[in-house]
Amino acid sequence: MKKITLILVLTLLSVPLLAAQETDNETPFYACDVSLYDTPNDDGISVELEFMPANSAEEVPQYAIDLYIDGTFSNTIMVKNAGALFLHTVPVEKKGSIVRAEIFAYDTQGQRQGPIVVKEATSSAQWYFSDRVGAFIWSMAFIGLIMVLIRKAKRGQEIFIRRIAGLEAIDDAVGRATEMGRPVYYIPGTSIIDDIATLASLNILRPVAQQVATYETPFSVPIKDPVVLTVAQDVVKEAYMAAGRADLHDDGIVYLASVGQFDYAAAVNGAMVREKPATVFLLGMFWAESLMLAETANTVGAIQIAGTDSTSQLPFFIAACDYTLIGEELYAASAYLSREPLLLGTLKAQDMIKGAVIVALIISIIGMLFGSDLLMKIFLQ
Amino acid sequence: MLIWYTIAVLLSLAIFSFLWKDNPLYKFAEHLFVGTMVGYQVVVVFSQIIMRKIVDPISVALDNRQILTLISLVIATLIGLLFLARFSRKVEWVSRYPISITVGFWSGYAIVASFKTNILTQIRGTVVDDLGQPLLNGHLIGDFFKNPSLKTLDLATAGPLLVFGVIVVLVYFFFSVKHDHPMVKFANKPALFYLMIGFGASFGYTFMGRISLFIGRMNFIFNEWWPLLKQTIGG
Amino acid sequence: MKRTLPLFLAFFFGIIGIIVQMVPALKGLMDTMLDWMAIIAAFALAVGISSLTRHHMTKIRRKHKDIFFSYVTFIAMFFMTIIGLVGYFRPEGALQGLFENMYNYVRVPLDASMFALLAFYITSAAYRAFRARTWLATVLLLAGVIVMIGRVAFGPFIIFNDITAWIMKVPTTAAMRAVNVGIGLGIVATSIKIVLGIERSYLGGGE
Repeated sequence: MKKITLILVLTLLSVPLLAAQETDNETPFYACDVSLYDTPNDDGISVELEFMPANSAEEVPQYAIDLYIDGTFSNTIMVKNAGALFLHTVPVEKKGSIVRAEIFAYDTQGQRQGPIVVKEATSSAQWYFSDRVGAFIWSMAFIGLIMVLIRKAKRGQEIFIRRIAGLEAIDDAVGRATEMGRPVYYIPGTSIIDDIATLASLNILRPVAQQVATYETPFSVPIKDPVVLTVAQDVVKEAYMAAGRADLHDDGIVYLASVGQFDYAAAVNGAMVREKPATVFLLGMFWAESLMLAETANTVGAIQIAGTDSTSQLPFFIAACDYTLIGEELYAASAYLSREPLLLGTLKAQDMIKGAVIVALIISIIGMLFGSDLLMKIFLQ
Repeated sequence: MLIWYTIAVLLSLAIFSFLWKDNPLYKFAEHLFVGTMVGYQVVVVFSQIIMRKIVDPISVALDNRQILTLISLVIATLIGLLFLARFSRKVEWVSRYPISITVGFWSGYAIVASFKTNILTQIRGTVVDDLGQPLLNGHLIGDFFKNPSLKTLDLATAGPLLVFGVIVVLVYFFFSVKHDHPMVKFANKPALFYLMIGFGASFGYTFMGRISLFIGRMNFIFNEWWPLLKQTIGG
Repeated sequence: MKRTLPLFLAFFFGIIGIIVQMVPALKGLMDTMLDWMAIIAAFALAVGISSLTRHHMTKIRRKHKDIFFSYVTFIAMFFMTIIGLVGYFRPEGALQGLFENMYNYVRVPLDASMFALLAFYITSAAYRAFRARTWLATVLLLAGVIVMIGRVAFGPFIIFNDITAWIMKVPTTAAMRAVNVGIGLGIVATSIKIVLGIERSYLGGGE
């Protein structure tokens, strides 16, 4: 009985709806889906407009969107009806601006109809990037862990670090150059200072330079970027002083070889075939020039100790060089070589964070096996 | 035009001559290259930074009385000028200020960004693929047993092999774990296997691209310059 | 002043670096900071040019046998700078045209030729890798050769195409991904060390 009543009610209700549809068929019904919303993760100087036509291109060949900012007309955007989503960022002068979008349709005669839809949104600034919160929390945990482990290391707790062949080889490589009376070359990558790999390399330059100074071996550090040059000059100078060989230091050791990628490679290759270094360090960020430098070093009979965090260049170093520091080994080198407890403490912290990342990976995978992405969202956001 | 094309060809040949041995032609090309690039860099820095980021904005700020912008630009310029302290032995150390500002800023800037793109995004990609499907997928393994073929085998094993590879290579690089630790011992061989396949494959993948670079250069000489030369001399 | 202030500056600007990465509302500050970094770095070029000049002047002073080539560098550098600067102020002038020709017919072919040399370097590196006799080198080489063939395979060798696709999709992706995660950890650790003043080698090191 209930069912019959329901059906009757529904049928009765649908009559006016059907009637309405009939009238709609007589006059064209203009429609579109519009959303206007504050741009997420910005400083409040724009709102986003998403527009999707609901009429066919035959019915409405074109739409117009009139934009008002704080009540004053700003501009009109004409949108051809391609049946596709149209995205537009509306720039505003200041945060808190009210943006109004009025959509008009053009009928087949080119008559402007509407506004068929009106939407409003207020621009606002966000105080944090919602998609970076996870990375931020992980980073802060990392910093906290480093501080704890440094305190432990300061108290004299021993920290074990495995052997890294490329770094063990430095001693012999510099010694070899000394015996042969030929120079040591140190190339701290070809990137600029904002690349952390460059900084990692400059951190390794210090102990290498100190050793070279102690052995009184000729040394050459060709550089590509002027800012890196200034840093490298300081590092080498202080290293010579620390080795007690300030007398051997010469401002010409660290020099700007050139400023571009391949001109730098041409200059350094030329220098290498002329001066025939016995040992060449290639540590830092490299691009295609990596292999040119490594191969030229090989042709002059040099031992090459390479290392980079460029995954595209690692294969070439591995194929062409005697020793290669792979990715994170480059960053670990400064702690490894200096054996300073503070730096070793951070290396331990790095391992622990890595362990935590592996655990997060495994439990996220387990979560997914049970059909839930909750754990992944918590740990890997 | 022919003159410039000929210069281009001669310089190319001079660079290639390095493969035979170091020679005056190469030395000339090399030194010309360095000089040209440094000169070019001076022009770029002058037009893109000195003019566009310092002089022009300062004059705009002066016109519009934007005091804060003006102060910011002047401070940045003064900090930059501290680099010039290097030219005097006495105040050389002052150039450490611009260095520490630059190094400090970029380091801070890298922390969260690297954690996100290098670590979390990569790990997330090891849990689910681009379409949001889990890499360890029981259904795909079931499909293989229902309908064993190379294709279903690939679909069933690709995810697990990828996850396994990522984990063993991560473990392989642990710094503070002793070699005889069972976990490291277990991961060692498979990790090296994955790494060497990966590096070898990347090497091979780039190999063909590099060969085509040389072919491209030869193409310039034989298909662009040579016809132009013939045309000019002949016509 | 010599040691503490630089460390404080690194810390202070490091914190700003973290903040602008986290707070969208401070985009204005971020743009200002990025401009600052570009402006500051620009002045280092003066130090760079003085270093390069010194390098070649030493050769000239010592009457090095390649003295002629050092002059080539100087002349090219001054020539390029002058025509470029004049061209900047007179974009319609003849010197701007000359500057563009120098770029297109000197710089570009030199660049392209150096890049093309890689064809030889990569071959010789591959050849040397061939001679290594450890099982690891063999794996590396095998993967390399399969992918090389796979990229140009046709006819009966088309199977290499599928194997290549698999190698790139599974083991290569896994290895590169893990290496990238390690690199990320290295970058973050090094950056933290610098901001906190634990790593100070870039200031010359020492205490």
